[in-house]
Amino acid sequence: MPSPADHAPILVGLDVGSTTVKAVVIDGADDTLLWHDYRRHETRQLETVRDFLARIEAAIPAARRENLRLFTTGSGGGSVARALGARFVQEVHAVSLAVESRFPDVGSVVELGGQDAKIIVFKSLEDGSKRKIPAMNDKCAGGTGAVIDKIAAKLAIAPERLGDMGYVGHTVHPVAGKCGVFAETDINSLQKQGVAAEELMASLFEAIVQQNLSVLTRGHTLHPRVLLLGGPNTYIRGLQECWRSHIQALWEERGVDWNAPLEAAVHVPEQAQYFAALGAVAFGRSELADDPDAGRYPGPGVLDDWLTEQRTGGRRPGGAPPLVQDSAELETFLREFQPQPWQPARFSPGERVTGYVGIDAGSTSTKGVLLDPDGEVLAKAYRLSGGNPIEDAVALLAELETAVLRQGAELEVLGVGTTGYAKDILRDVLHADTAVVETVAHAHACEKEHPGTDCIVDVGGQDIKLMFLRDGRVRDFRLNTQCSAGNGYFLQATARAFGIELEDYAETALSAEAMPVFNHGCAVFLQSDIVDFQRKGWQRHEILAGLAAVLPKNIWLYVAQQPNPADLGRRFVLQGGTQHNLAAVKAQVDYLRERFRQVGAECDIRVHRHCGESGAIGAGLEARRLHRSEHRRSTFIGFERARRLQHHTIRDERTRCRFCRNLCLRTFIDVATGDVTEPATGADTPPRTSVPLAPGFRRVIIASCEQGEVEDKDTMQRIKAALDRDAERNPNHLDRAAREVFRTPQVEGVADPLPQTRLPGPLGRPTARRRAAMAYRRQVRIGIPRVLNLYSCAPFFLGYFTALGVPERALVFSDYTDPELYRRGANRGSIDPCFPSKLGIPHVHNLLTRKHRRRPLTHIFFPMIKSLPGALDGALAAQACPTVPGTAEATHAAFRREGDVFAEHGIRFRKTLVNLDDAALCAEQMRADWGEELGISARESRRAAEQGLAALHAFHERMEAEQRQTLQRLEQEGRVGIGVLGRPYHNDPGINHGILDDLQRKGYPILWQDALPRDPATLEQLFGAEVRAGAMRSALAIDDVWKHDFSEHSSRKLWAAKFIARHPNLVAVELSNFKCGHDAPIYSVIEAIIEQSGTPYFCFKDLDENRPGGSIQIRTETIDYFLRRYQAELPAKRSAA
Amino acid sequence: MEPSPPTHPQDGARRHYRRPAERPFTREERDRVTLLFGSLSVAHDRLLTAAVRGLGYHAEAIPTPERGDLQTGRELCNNGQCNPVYFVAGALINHLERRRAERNLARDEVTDRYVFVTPGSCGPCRFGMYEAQYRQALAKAGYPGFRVIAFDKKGGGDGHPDEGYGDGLSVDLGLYIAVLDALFMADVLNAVFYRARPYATDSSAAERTFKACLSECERALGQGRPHPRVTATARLLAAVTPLSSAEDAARLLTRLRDSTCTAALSRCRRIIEAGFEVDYLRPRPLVKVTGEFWAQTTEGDGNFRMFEFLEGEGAEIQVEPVAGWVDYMRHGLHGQLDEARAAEAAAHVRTGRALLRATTTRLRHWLIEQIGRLLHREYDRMRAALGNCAAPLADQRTLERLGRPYYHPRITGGEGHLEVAKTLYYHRNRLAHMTLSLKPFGCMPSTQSDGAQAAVQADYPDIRFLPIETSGEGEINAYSRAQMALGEARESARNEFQDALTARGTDLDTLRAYIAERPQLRSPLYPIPQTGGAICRAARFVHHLADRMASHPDSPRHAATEHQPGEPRHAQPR
Repeated sequence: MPSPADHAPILVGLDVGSTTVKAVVIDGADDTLLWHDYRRHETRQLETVRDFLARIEAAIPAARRENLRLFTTGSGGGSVARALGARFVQEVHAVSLAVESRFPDVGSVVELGGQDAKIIVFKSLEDGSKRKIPAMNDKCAGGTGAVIDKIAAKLAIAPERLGDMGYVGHTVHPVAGKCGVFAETDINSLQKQGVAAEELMASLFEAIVQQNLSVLTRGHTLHPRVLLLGGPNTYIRGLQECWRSHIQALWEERGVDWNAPLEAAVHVPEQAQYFAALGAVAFGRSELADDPDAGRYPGPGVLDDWLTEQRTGGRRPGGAPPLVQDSAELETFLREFQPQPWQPARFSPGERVTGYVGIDAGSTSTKGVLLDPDGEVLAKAYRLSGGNPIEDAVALLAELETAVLRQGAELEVLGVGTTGYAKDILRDVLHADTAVVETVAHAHACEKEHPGTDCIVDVGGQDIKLMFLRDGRVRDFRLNTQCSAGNGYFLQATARAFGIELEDYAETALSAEAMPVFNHGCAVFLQSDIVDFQRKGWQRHEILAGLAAVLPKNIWLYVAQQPNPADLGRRFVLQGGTQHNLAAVKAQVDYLRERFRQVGAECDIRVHRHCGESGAIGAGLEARRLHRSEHRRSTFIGFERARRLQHHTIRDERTRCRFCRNLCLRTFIDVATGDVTEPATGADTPPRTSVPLAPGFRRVIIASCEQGEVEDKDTMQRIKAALDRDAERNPNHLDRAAREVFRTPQVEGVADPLPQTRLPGPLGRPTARRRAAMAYRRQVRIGIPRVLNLYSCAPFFLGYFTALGVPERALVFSDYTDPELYRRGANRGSIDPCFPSKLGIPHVHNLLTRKHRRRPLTHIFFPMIKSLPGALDGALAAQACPTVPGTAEATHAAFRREGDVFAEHGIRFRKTLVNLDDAALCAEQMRADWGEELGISARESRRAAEQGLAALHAFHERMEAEQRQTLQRLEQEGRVGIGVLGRPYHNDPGINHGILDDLQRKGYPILWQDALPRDPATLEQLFGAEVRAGAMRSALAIDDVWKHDFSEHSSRKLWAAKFIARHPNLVAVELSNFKCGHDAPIYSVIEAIIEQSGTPYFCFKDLDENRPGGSIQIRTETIDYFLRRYQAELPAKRSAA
Repeated sequence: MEPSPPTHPQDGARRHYRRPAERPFTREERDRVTLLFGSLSVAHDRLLTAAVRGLGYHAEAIPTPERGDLQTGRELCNNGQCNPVYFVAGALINHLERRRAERNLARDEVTDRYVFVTPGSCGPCRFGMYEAQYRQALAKAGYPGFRVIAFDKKGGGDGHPDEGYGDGLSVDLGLYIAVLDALFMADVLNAVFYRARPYATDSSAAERTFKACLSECERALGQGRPHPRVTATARLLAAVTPLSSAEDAARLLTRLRDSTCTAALSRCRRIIEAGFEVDYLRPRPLVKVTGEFWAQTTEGDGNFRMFEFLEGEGAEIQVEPVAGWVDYMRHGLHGQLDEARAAEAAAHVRTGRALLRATTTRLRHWLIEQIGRLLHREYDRMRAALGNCAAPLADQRTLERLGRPYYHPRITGGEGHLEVAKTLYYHRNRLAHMTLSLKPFGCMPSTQSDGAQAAVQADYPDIRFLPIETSGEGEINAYSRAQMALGEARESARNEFQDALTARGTDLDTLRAYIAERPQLRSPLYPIPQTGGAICRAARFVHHLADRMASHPDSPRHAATEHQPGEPRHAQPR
């Protein structure tokens, strides 16, 4: 006879996540755990669920199977619930149910999942109850388990080893945690510098924890006890250590007591990976109380039917036609684009082969070629990056040599060229003859094979590059700014995740009869789409087809921003390793042909025969050019010495450069080839080094600047002196402006004399009050964050306050932005605006924790600059971007979230809204906010505002005069200067990421758009004729190019673009930050203004908090290559202008 | 802009870029040109179209933008735009392409036959530059020279005064009145249906009724208006107010007496009462939707179809009326006047002149107040005609007072201080269980406003506020986050409902039996007063029914008023 327990429900909690499925089975009779499992679904979400359910059924006695009740949670739980008639509970809700029942003392929960991260803060209310504040990542998978998975796979770290990797005691390197794609780029670069996998992973843990603390906590403190949940937190020791380390630091800074050992205060509970599933069961219990039939499990057949239905009909409405409609189309395509087989050259025994070697040390692979004296490929070698570019290159060289020697021939190398990420290291180590920037190498290779090409589309592992050619030379180029959306590596990684070899990608994708439509853009979003499409029933071959189809959109719309490729010419050559993938080629060919068809034209598309090696070929061709035209003898160390090459890489505290306050970590590569005559780069034993150099070794130092490339101070000072001389000849005016703008201006004192109290009693009180307030002017100490429009408006505020008698030293700015300042202060932020705005919080944090600690501040002043003094004629308005004034409000709120931090420090926060385009109004605004406290009368305020505006005007005049001199010198010397189109905060070295310094070091003066000379002579020279012809209203108007001129800095940018377009000695570099809403609408106008005049234009868009060093280097080197050519033609230009 | 082939300085003198000249839309073209509108909610789009047709134009609404439109928009606009531009530009271009195919037209012909009319603004966020993006996208799509008229609050269309967009569209008071009537009618219709739909016992009947009401309103707006007679009063009014002509004054006076809209809404009320029934005993969490103007208004993929999703999850949504935004724009004029007055005070003009200016400023304030009164009056008349179920417009001064400590009202752009203020308004007045703020990815004002909400939440820890960015991608995560917040709100609603049953000592069966005999309690327009301190409509209904059952069950005094007299109304003049 069945016992009552046999009728008790058996509750199944099923957590269907983006990468794993977790299930617990609980006996409703006595709460015992009957079954549990955690498994990666390898993108087969529904199939894994079906398998789980079958195993659960098998584990339950047959008599009780009908008692099974199913409750689901997780990002895929909703659709499973719909299919099975189960009940669904949202995962954060589920986690909190489980947590609250098991850990009533919980203060906060951090759950990391596959593609999501959740934080729940439990806040105690005055009435003793607790309020849950949940937060979840918005739509980006940055800072989640997916990033760890991706990097671990890249570094070939097995899951069991990953679990044991630590954090404490490892050197941490800068890695961007905000975005998985950026993180990968950084890891890639560090790996190439020889950083060990343990340190890379520790750095990644740091990045992920930082990202979650700075974004996901939304500024809340994680109060003890903190529970760490989810797969990554459960299984990875280093992640737990990292959380503990950061949370402890935060608690110490914010004065939180944790009254327990840290391990207990930041706790990983038993079954931490099952909490959402356990929560689903808890939810199920309450559902069953209302409805005993809730979530009745219908058996596996329902899921099977649903799977079948999804696979056949369910998905079609949102799909697109396939890559190929029928076999005829496929045949035609293959006939045209299938690469012709290539055979390595045959040599006769004893033949003496001469040639050039090209090596392309790319992001994911290293390629090498041996070219004959005519530049034809004799042999090729390919190697997936093993993480060390030197070892990869040595192995490649051996392979190339063997290709000749094994046929009994001899090989003489006439020259070696390198390109790719590690080109400089290889040049230094191998003594190669040249290191060529990738863009130029690709152009050389293309010109050799397909002369007359108009555009090269190079899709490599990490980068997408487009090079626009004229006469075989790069006339312009586009690179993915920092994000490698839609790149080859992403296609490769997705195929691998689906268990498909890269070689089979094309065949698989071309077999699809329909495909889902992906949005073009960020690769992380593509990843979310993949999971979503799978959930909708799309199969892997269809998804691969869809991914191939989105590639050309990413190339043309995201990277090139060129919806009409027909404007570029008609011959397009596809290069880069990804072009081996014929599905990707088909998609690109279709895309281009369709775009040409729309404008009634035809295009000529070719795939480079050696598409994967075109970079290496280009490098070899450059070595050939140097050998032939400049009659250079090769400096290459030779195969023999390369074979004997020994090296070791050091990158730790001992290699830290201490020549400036940036304190960068450097990489030392000590190299020996066993040849005592080998020339050394500097002294064999550096005079003072923290890392002794072994005998027979020489040292190659990889540093972020020239000064860091040496170890001894004398040499560094010599280098620095040379750099200083260059800087004087080629000033960086943005850098100068960034410093000058914060210097206190000379203003007249305009304060009223101290009033004398004459009237007795209450009648005299107002005067006495004002007298005291005025005296207080000498006692205040006002901290001002060095951010946003203060980079152009600081003289106003400095002038205003000092004119009223506030001492110069009492006006204190926060430090200049650097990564450390940002890291320390960012974790109070609750929103994700553009980086310049996000800096508001770290700068105020800097004032509080540094400046205030040094000497107490009485105020922090964050002016909300709503409008600016208009610099142009007839503009509709001179408003600041709305983000600028809003930042003060958001910053203020961030420090009030858990009690008023300013009040706790005895500081008053002021955020005066000011309209600087109206002297009278801003005087009144300042008086209204400061008048009572500092005893400022209306008349005084008016006079002080006039002084402030005069100081602002004088600063701009000074900057203009300096830039005028530079321009005159450029004109006299027939050289080129770079006009930077950006916003005032781009003068902040922490925002421009040193891009402008890089360009300056290459020999170009850098000019600030806001201080281009506006003297009558210059205006007449550039605009006079057009004004007289009626083409524009005045030299200082922009309505001939843009009619919505209400945003002052956009207007100034447009005017500066007009200026540069007309000045023969200037070229344009545009800087813009990710999410800049005022730049985006004028991108195309700026480009049109500059390019239509024939002036070179380069841009660094989507700048953000991380510094994409590799991408910046490629760009600055390409710009340099391009500008040298341009400069050489300048005399002709001058006469033309 | 039109693409042009790059030139090289060596080719000769430099050719400089010029903005393409804009082609005006002229009065002579009216008969053969169709004005295109879009894209607010379905109701707004349809009624706007009808109203403009009623003025004698050919007009057509572009369909609600969908994900495919986003793709088109992203291909043709600059990178880094906010998604309203992508969606609307894409929807417009795809609509033109469909029309071209259906009617076998060349692109030039389409360019000649259509004009796109869109709201405009003089900054300060990207919104003020949308028009340029539309033009650029149209040019890239093969429609160079397509006319886009930015219909902005200045009435000047756009930008510089010398930019003529032609006399084809008469931007006069007649147009403003027609547009406002259409917007207000759509607002009250939306409010009523979003209120009733989650409780409908037959959801398809509710949908049919909604369509019937829209058709009724379209008919009314499309039939044109009584011809204004220029009377002596009209002339006097024109002389003493900034109205530009006696004709405009006559239009205004005629409109004040006109009952076209209210009559149509009264007919809608009857259609609704006959159309479907509701069961207000289902506890639903009340979700107030705020955010960026377009994201909180559209009903398509532009906000992930969030209203549909939330209703599917069992929530009752309170959508934001466009009238509220119109009123906010009006109210912003007070701020401008205050700034001008402050500047004058600081400039120390002579006493006589200062006095004159102060008087003028006061008069202007008074006029702005009167405009506000008129807006509220008309909105209230329409609400009344439709059974008084739509909430009254929140008072702008109250909103400014609520928002000011957290977000300065003069930081304009987007919704300014409104997002913060509405969160507080709905929380403090116990009008919603949670606030869902929808905004396009990277929306500048809305992002900062979310930052300011940190302080709001510090001061009011029990506020439930969820901001969601709508990028066009990643709706699964957005849904998940909405479900996350909704879980708690749902629990609150259930608890309130259970508490109400317990407190009133009744149960569901008793109440259902009571309702079964009284059809008016099943009417979608039955007003449920804010009683018992509950937010949940079902809980309030329990209290109301209990009150009603305890006294005379069908006495007229129980014909409840949904909006209690204590609720904020329009402010007193300064």
